[in-house]
Amino acid sequence: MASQDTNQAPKPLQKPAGIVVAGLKYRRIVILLSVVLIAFGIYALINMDKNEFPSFTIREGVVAAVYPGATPEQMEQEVLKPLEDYVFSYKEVNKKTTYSQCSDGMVMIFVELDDNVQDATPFWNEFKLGMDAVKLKLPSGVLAVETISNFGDTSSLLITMQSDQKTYRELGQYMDDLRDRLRTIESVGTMDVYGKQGEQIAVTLDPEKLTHYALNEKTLGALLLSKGFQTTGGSLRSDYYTQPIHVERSINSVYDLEQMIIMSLPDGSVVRLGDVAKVEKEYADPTSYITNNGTKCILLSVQMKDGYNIVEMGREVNKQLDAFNSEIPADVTLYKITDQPTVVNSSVNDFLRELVIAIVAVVIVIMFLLPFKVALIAASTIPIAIFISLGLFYMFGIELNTVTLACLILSLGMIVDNSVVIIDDYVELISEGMDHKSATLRSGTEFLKAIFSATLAISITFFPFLLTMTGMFRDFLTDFPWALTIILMVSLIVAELLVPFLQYKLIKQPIYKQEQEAIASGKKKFSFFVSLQKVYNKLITVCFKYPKTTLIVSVVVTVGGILLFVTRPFKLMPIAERNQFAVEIFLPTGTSVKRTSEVADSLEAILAKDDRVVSIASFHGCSSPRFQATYAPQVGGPNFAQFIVNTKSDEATIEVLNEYTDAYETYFPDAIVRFKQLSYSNAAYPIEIRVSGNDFAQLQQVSDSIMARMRQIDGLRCVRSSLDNPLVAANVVPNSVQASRLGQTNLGVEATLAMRYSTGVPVATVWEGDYGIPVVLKTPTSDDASASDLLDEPMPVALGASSAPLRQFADVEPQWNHGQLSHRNGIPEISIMAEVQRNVNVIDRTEAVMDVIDSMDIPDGVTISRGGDWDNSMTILPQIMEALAIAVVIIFFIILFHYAQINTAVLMVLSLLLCIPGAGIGMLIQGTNISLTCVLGIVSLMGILVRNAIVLLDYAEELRNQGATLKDAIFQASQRRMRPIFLTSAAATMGVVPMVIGGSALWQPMGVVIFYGTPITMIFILTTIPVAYWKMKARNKGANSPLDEPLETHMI
Amino acid sequence: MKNYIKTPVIIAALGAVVLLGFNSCGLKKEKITAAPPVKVEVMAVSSSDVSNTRTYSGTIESGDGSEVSFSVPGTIRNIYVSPGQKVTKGQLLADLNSESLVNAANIADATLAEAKDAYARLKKLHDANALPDIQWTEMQTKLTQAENSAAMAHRAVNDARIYAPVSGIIAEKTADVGQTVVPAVPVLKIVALGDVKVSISVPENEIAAMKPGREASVAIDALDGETRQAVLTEQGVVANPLSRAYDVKFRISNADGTLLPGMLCSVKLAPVESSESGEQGSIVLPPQAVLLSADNRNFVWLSNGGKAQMRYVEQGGLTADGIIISSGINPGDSVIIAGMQKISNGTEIIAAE
Repeated sequence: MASQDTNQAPKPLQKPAGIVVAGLKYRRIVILLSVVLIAFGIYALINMDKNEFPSFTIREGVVAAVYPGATPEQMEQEVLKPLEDYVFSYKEVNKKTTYSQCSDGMVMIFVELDDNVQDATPFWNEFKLGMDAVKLKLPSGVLAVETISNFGDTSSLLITMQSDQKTYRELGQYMDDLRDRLRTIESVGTMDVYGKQGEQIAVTLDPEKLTHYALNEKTLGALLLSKGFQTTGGSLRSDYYTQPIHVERSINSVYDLEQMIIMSLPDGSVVRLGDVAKVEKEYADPTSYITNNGTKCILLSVQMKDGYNIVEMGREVNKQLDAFNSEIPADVTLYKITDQPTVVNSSVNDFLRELVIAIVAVVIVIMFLLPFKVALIAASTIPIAIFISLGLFYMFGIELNTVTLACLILSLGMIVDNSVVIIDDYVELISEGMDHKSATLRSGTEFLKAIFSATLAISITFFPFLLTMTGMFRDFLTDFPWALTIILMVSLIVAELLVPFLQYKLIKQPIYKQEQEAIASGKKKFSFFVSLQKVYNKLITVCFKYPKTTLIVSVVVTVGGILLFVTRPFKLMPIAERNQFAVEIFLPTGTSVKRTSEVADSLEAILAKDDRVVSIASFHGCSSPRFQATYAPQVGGPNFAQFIVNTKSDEATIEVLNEYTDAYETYFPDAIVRFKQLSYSNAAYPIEIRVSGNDFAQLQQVSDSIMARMRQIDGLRCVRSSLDNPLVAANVVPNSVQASRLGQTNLGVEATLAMRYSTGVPVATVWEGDYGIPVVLKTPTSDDASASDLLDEPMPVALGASSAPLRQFADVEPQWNHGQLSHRNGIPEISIMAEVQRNVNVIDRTEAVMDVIDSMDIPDGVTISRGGDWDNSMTILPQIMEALAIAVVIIFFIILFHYAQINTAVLMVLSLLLCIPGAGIGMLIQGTNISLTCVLGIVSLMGILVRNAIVLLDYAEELRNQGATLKDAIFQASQRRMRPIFLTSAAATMGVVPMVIGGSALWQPMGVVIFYGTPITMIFILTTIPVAYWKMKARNKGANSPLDEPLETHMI
Repeated sequence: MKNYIKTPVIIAALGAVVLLGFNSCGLKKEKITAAPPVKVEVMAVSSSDVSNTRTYSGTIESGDGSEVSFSVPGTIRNIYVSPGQKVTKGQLLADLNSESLVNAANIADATLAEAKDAYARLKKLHDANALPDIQWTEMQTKLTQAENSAAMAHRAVNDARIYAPVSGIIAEKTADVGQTVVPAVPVLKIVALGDVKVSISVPENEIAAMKPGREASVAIDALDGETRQAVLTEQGVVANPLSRAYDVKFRISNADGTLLPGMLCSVKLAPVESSESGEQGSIVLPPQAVLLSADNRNFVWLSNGGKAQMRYVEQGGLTADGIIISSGINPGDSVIIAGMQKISNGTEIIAAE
């Protein structure tokens, strides 16, 4: 991508003056080209893809298997083991993070793929194919094995459709219409409907009556199945024509079913289905349903196809929604619970506004500090460089998102830097009496190498992040180095091609000299730079007078700063500011949807009273689709409910969370309520302690004692275990003698009980147009039964000729099963989850937990590891550190290349530490945590430092080449370079002011680091580095002689 | 260029404002606190009789009923009732074509009249001692014969009609008008409605407790679950070969006649004190309150002075209301029945009933 730019720039270096000369010679072409590129940039800004974030690839899929009637232990042994063997046979699977859960009759394996898997689709296709073979090895009772590979897909829009008066069926029809409309939009990808409730025709059998007629439900089921079955009826073939034969379906309505003859006696009397069963059309007792603000609704999740502009898609969807709204009845309403297009639009707009404010701030600073004409030229390069860069972004397919926008803001200071260095030099040169033309040429060439090396250094330092980071964070940073490189290289080219021409045209006077003279002559009372220069001159004189003290003070301050920095709390990925948050409600395993809904409804009522809450979408017994990339939905179930709460504003979200979290987290005795603020961390739980090993009883013991200790740690909330409460099963134990006398087999008992105590066995389908209604067989005990019903259950004897109660041949005992068994990497595990008190650092609390665990006596064979945010951070931290280290090495080599002196390079690398105190102080003042963007800020500080140091030292070497002594050269260079260094530092500082004030949790740390770090680092650059360089050089033997070789030759 | 004078002042001021402004939001630090006491739901343990009620599926059978038939042969002339009709005792139900019987009765009457007449004459002779004894005795016999013949002929006429022997409902009609019937072939079936029977099948291990006189409550599905009391009357002695169960019958009142034979019902038998496993004074806890420890033992959480306390228990089986606890806790203990996933031994709790 941007490598083209890096290639473009070096060429002119071979004949340094070439580029500047060419720029001046073909100035019309340059101007024309600039105008065209700026126009293209404006066009690009309007048309380029905009997203809030770079698209994350969620490399996760789910394998789910259903085996009704199996205990979690059975699931683990019979189903999970073979499935795991299969899953782990793939090298793409990340074994460490793949985990599985077994609950009653259900297994789920959360398969995580290695971060280096770029395109997961071929993998999943192969995986699903292979799964067919594995299915055959599973017990025959396993009903379904499903591989869900789109688990990571994120919905762009969640639209609810609700109505008080319309039935689910009618809503479903409207929803189908809506989907048909939206499908016409090209950018719309997958659409899924959630919360639909289907009608069913329930045939509620009375087992007693069946016995009376010597029937059983099995034969009845088979009969219904055969009536509802349709197959090809053959055809009438003649020589000329073939007519297919169709057999009319015999069941078309409830009436048909009721009248269906199930038995006819020789004497002509018949028994109809209506005689032995109640047949009615109904909505089945829902296992899950969705409400929006308390009204039943169905939900449409809309995803966007990759590579489209989400804002544009949002606009088109809105158009269709408006049209649709005018056609549906008034009592059917649509509501957007999550609306990524709007979020993206407003966040991109916010960022664009911040960018504009930043530009204005930088321009104002320049205007304040520089003489008008100089300021005008320097400031004009900002919009020019930015628009040209935007055009290039568009060309290279880099989308506009907060990352690339942050990159633009970050680079503002650096953009002016290049121009300022050149203009400053130019003005100095003409002050010295050089003619304009030569001054222009010389100013362009004198620092070309320096600013090229410096620009390269800054650009390249971010690339190591792409090498070392993996997963989501890499996705997050993908565009960052490229975007920065493009911007900086563009600014370099603008500075070299356009600025010389502008300065040549506009600045004819030795402005600085005039200014100094004006002050000297008393015409002008005060100039900022003149005063600043005076102050600095005094300072640098003192520093050079007491070099040791200067260095010692610097070292002390640096060490102090580093200490300050490393003691800052960690929070690598911050919370996401949204006007919405999620609430998750967990009840113990075995809780009915009804009870779960009671809790959910009361919490909803409490929240709804708050004025700041705009809407509450409530998912009962299920979870919402993934509506934010990092928010992995929980696995639903009757004991789970979830809300998506929309509030008035981002601030309201935080207020509401602050108020309600403590009050309602454990308000309901049987429920754990998690208020989940959206964040960029993809850890499911903030604190997770994983206890793993092969002896399950031991695991349970250890985890129990850890849990007990954790519950006493301050700042932790809702400590709980993945094991959950045990589920008490009713275990039917047939007495073999009695059972065989009655001809009862285990299979028969199981089948009969399954039929009578399940929510309904589908046996046929009745079609009403395109609406298929399943016919299900039920019994009165399907929906409501107790243990004594089971004991009294009349079991058919001799094919239903007679019946005997279950208790006649079997006992029913309570049996305790674990609520949920988990595996990670194939090893049994119990994880202990905990929430953390709001606004308390998670990493710090995790350390506190580990301290406690370390003091405990953990038996051999049990391994304790940490998950949650800590694991997340600690996976990333080494990667960041590695990237930093590589960046430092790269800087080292750039400097080495530049100066061809190892000791200079070592000095510079050491001086990189000077960035830290400024960053540390800033973070202390602002109370910022160490985060990913904060590290990015430090890397750019390093870039700025190296850049300024190179420009400064280059000038010193230049002076030495002209014959100055070492000390003088450095001393003069410092004095000369103070102004541009101050200027660019001021620009960089002002550029991030909106970022700091904006308070975005994600970007503020970066802003803080730069805002405080740049000025403080600047002081070091202007004092410590010259002194250190002087001292270092002075210790070399050739200290007082100019460099042996001309500078240029080192470069190539 | 005058504003250059103010520049440093402005920058300094701006810096100060920015610093102060940020400070207010920056240095604020949250105090780390312990988790608040956990809210749990508790239940005061009380011993109660375990409702070990047994339910049986039963069928209503007719109580005393009868099949009526003609005692004389003949052709049916008329049947006055139809199945399902309610009849009262003594009501005419059907009759035979009785002409020949009437004729026979008339002949008998004539013979009787003749005999009476001869008797009257001979009496005079006998009174006057003009008749030998043997003749007189013959005459007396003849008269008695004629009288009985007449009575029999009249009875036969009467027997050509069937009257309802009991009040009840016509359950079945097995002959039609015009059909010739011979005696003892049932023509109609009447079921009595005053009392009906409920028959249930009782598994062999429960039959011992089925003593006559035991009371049960019967819920009749067809009458929307209406319940009535019934009393055990008959206990079967032979097991049904299919279901290995014994028939046990209860008497149930059917004064209003709504119970019809063949109706399905469920019979609930309250436990008898001594014989059945219904334990008295047992403690029953909701299933979710009883947990399983790592060493595979059952335990419950007790609320003890504002703290959670773990207590091992022994369970005694499953009932409709929950799990029977045979030992470990006593009446008066507060058992935590919701919120167990949030507590450990010694966790501070707030109990709510």
